[in-house]
Amino acid sequence: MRVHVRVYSVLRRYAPGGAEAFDLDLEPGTELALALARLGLPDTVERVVLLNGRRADPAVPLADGDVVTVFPPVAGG
Amino acid sequence: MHGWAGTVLRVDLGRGVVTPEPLDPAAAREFIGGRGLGIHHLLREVDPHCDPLGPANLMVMATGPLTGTRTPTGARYTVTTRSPLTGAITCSNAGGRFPAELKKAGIDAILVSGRSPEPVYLWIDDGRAELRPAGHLWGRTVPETDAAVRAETHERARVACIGPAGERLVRFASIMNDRHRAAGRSGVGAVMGSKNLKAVAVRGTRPVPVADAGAFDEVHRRVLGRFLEASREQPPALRVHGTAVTVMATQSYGVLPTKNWQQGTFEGWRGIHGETLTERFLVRQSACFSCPIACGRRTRVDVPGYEGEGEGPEYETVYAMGSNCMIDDLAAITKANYLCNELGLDTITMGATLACAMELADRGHLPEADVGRPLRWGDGRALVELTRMTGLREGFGDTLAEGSLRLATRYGHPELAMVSKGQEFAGYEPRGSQGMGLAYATSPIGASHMRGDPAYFELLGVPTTVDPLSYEDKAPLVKDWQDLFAVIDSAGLCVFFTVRYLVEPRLDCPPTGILAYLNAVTGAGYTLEELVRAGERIVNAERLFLVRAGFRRKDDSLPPRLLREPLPDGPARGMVCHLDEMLDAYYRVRGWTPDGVPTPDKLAELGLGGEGTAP
Repeated sequence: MRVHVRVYSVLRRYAPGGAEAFDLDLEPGTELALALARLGLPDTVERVVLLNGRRADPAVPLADGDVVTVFPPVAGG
Repeated sequence: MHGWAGTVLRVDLGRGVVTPEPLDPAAAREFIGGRGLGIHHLLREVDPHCDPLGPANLMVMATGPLTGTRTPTGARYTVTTRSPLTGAITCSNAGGRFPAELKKAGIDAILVSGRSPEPVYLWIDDGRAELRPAGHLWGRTVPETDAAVRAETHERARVACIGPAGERLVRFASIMNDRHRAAGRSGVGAVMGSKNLKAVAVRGTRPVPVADAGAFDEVHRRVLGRFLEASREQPPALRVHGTAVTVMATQSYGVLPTKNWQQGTFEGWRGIHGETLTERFLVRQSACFSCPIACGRRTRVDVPGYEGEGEGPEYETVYAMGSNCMIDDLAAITKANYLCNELGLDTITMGATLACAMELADRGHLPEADVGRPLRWGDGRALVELTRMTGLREGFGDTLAEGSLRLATRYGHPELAMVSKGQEFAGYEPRGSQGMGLAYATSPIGASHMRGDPAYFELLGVPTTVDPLSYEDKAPLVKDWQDLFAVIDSAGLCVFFTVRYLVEPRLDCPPTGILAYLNAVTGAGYTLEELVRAGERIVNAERLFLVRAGFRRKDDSLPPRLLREPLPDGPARGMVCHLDEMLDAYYRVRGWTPDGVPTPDKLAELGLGGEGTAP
């Protein structure tokens, strides 16, 4: 299955080639946490993770066509 | 005293007299400073029904006990007064260097009353204060005024001033300090203009005395160490791309207000994103006094027709002037931001009022002849030109200068004004961020992201995560967060650093880091409970002022669009804001009546028992 990933701001350095958006080919049923591990994002790095624009449990299995968004904690002003 | 300078400056503009008074130590302890000290004075000294632009209104400019110290982000002051935009109070705050300079001059707060018969400015030189003529400065822009006042006083003086918008009583005129920082909201600049006070210049050279330097260094090492460690792991996003980096978050959740709040996502979002700002216009980062983050943007635009140099834009500006107007041209937005800074205008209300005008025009309610030009979604040139005209009250700008509620009412459709208590929203859509809706509706100054901003825990993961679409659980969280922000604003700190490094990462947000700094600086020996209670006291004191001015539950409202029209797009599609359900629970946890009035028991508990709810 193919999952679409978006990585923003200072976390882009963990994306392949620093790309903002890319696709990941994963085994069907791969959990969200495993998909993130594929990015090489250390556990110590603070991040907000969305699945299809909503908060999601890291153990949730992904489905073909899902959109995973990762960005650092920030706030407006 | 330590932390507090111990002196407030009374400026009676009607008589042209400046009088230093000792700071009341009991009031300082109970209301901390800054925003708290402002409402303390407003409650006692201002008729809640006074004309906001008349001499009876009082304008308080107050620092907090941590302002001017090495406490991270100890840079801020708050302007408290009755707002000409809303009729409620306002307590707009700003950082930069002016507030710390004021404290170093030995002044905690300036209380400005009356109206000067002629334009004047206030010059404070290490505690010696005088009023000087300012007729020759009237009509000057903010940078011109800043330069002229420094030339007449001291080249290193720090200046807070109004521009032409404040002089012309634009209802959302700002007070600018250090040229680029804005006490932006609710028309504080119009109040200053109504008093014929063009500027306050200050030179302060005395370090703020700290009660326990050893304790300060200990907490400082610990807190900064955590920040530096996290920064080594990943640089702060706010430093790298500025606050406009938030666009990618709100767009991802579908809560980026677009087309005057008709949509929650913006096709052209990448054009207004912080990363785009970095690539196109960033010259360098800038930081307020004692700030390790440096989220400020020094920028330059070379695009023909939009040339300029200055600071900004911030996230709230790119939402209000960008997605909300369907404008993805960052050059036009940045230029309009420069104009706001130079003329002294709030960028949020400016952009949101223009978006309202665009919808009125789009629906055929606003004739093109009235505007004097075509007004279509996405028109960056109209944004720049109408911003300039608003700051000068020229042509249709004179109508825009009244804000979106008066504009929409004039053209027969007040429901198209996206406001709460008459003030325009910040850039977070309550249908996809329910707690934000409750916070907007109950904010004492009308819609604001600075009076307890649930976007942090609903959208941004700070201090922890909560489902943004749930509403049953939001009332106590919003209450605690509002009380926390009252402490932050009153201490003289900025929320950006504080909510991540000076607050426990739990939803009840105990401000243990603020407590440690506050006690080291002041030696006042606050307990955690006492500090939390002070935040609640300040929020209730502000509510008292509103109640006396006639505000009730009916005013804790949102526009019908957010309550009844399901969001048509994005991840929060189909949602409305469940405000009524949240309000009932909110008043209960606040100890207020179902109509939103603090009960006598609650007031007594907070030491406000002597304060009646009648005007």
